[in-house]
Amino acid sequence: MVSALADAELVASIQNGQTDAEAALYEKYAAKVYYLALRESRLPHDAEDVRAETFLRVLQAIRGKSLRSPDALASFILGTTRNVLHELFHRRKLAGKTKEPEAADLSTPSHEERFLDSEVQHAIERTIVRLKPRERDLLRMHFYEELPTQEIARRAGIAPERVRLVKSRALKHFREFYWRLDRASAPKKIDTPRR
Amino acid sequence: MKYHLAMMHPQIEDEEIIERYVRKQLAEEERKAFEEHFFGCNDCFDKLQVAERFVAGVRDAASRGMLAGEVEGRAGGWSWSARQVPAFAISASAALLLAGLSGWLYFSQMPKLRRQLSQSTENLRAQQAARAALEHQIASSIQAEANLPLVMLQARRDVQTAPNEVSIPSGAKHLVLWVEVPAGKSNSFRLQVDTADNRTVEALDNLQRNSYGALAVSLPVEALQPGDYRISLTAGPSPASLLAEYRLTIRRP
Repeated sequence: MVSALADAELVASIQNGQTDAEAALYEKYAAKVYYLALRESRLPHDAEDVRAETFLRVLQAIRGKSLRSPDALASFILGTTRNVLHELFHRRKLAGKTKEPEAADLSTPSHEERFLDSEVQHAIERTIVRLKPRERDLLRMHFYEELPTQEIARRAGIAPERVRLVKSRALKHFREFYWRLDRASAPKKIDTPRR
Repeated sequence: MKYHLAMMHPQIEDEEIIERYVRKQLAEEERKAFEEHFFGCNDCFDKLQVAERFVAGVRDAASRGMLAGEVEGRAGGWSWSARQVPAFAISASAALLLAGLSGWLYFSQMPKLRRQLSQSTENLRAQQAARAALEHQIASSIQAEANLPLVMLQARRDVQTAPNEVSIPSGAKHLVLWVEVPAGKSNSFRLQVDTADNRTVEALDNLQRNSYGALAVSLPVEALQPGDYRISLTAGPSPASLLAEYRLTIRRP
């Protein structure tokens, strides 16, 4: 199976002209490239452009055998993504736009909001139900009020380690609930179809 | 690639790298190192995606008040996070807008509304009074009345003819006039009661003869103050012709 190939083997297959190896490469890294591009650019269409340009350059480099170390393919893709993002920000700057995504388009949902859907809300609600009132306070103070752990511990009258334990437990519950919901419905990722 | 090689799973776990990456709390070098790591580590990338959803969900739940808890005694006072400031600003703006609207209503619209309310109240009272009077009148008219004063009018033939007199007892509500109608072809008559100073007190049309060939008319005594009255009997239809004229003196005990 091409999709299970290690990076070095993928590179070799692409260099041997196997187009399904190119598809496998895309499947393996597209979500990561898009995630990073969206996190940095905040704009989905820019993130899609960054992803397309990144894979174009990566495949050209592989086909042209300019990739120095096939084992470092992941790092090469990350570096290419950063370069494309850097060029995007440079173009924004030349166009008189700030690099800051918030100012680039205020009507665009934040990076965080793109991860929020009904399944996430449902899983969070079920997680909250399993928490004690004081544990809910901890989550609110930590993630919403963004207080330092020491301050949260002081206010709640608990040890700082306890804050971490509550977070960890809540995340574990959330992961379980979300996975169940995710399996019950079509899997969704912060991604768009390949162009 | 030294950061990628340097950042291993124990460090990621111990230093809560994933959560801090999501919350953008990593230093520049740590951030780059973790990106190097998750680009080559599917497990960490999956954890990162879950952590993104978890943090987004918790913040959303907190903003909806689902994480309102029991911790009291904020000794350090309120610390406003970046999320609370715009929320407070929106709430404060809404409160100010509401206060302004209330003030405008109070100072501009309230006097007008009060006037309208006062006018409506007065109208209602007047209607209630009129209704009570009508009810009283209806109740009076449907009650049996004993010792009804009655006068049989005799036509005035000259100024020296003595007027008809009637004494209305206290408590009487109606005065009955019995009018002998002169012979004629007319079947419809009109009776008009005027005061001595020519003010019409009552006028009744379409009067018909009864089986005795006379007219029987009931007048409310309220309108008949003690004094002299002139009663004209005319035959209809128009042009009306005067058939007789009567003088009536009302007395009260």
